[in-house]
Amino acid sequence: MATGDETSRPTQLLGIGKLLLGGLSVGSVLELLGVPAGMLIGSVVGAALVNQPWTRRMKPASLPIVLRQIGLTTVGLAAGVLLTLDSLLSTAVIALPVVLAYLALTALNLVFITVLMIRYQVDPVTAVLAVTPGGLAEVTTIAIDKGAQVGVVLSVHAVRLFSLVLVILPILLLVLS
Amino acid sequence: MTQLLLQLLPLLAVMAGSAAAALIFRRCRIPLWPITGGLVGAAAINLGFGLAVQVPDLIVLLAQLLVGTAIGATIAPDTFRQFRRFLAPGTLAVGAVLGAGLLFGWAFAALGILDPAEAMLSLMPGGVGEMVTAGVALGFDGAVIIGAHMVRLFTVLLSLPLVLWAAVKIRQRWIAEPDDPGPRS
Repeated sequence: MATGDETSRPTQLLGIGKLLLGGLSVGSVLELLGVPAGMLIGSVVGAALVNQPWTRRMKPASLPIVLRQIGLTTVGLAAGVLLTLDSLLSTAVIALPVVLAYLALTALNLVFITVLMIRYQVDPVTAVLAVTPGGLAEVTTIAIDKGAQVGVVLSVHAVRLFSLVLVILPILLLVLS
Repeated sequence: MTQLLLQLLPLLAVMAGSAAAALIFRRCRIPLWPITGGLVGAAAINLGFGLAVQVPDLIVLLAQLLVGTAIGATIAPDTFRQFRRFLAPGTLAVGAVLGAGLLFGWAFAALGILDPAEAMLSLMPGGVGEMVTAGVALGFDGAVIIGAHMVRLFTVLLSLPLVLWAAVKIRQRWIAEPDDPGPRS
């Protein structure tokens, strides 16, 4: 996964370029198809595909952590500029019910956390992050930082994201529009 | 050139505020500091100076590309095997979580706390970007949805240590063998 110190700089740069190109290719296709958050989902798939050791000579590359942090800060920035004074006031009114709703959801999730730990022998950090209600970028980033099994967390969140994007949102679109 | 720079100045100011807040949040060890810091910093500069900045789509796409690529690069060959293994429990957990989101959304609408559509989009547990993008695409008030998801983000982040503690206790109490060295975290 990590390139390691023994990898030469040109090889590292080539690996980064390969990852970005893979991510951009699939991400662009999903964006053009109008899939919500298509670039995010597509770049996960694209980067994962080009980074697999398809042949013995292929070595997996990794993206420098600073690039991920720049990406996440920009995601935060794009969300932050949408906030207005009116939205802050309305948020203050709904904050307590929203907090209570998510705490209730967290209590429900303890059941699934227990199932994942008992039935699938998953460690607590991975089990908690697999069912944490949040976005793919948010939760997977915490999983990487906390040393959880990213594959497990990503598997459950991929199901959530695809259910949301391909099933729930189209239904909401149909019902609400 | 000068005119272009003047047009870009508000965006650059918000970007600088975002980066500065992210670094402060990092120093304060606030979880997920890039997103939380970036969000708070951008909102503070944008609202504080009355800038009404709109982030170009290209920048948002580039950010998603960087984050998605970083996640994709961590996927090892066994992830696909894990995906098959965790598909059933994952679907069950996701079904329950999305069902609860819909239920909460309906309850918020029934209690008159939010408009039905905005309630659904606000209470559905997706990411800030995903749900706001969907809401705006549907023509709803993105500001209300983002407010609710900001509360969700901070609730989840602040309650995470407690949930982790509960999970470790459950494991120690009901799952771990007596000579089990315990979970790694």
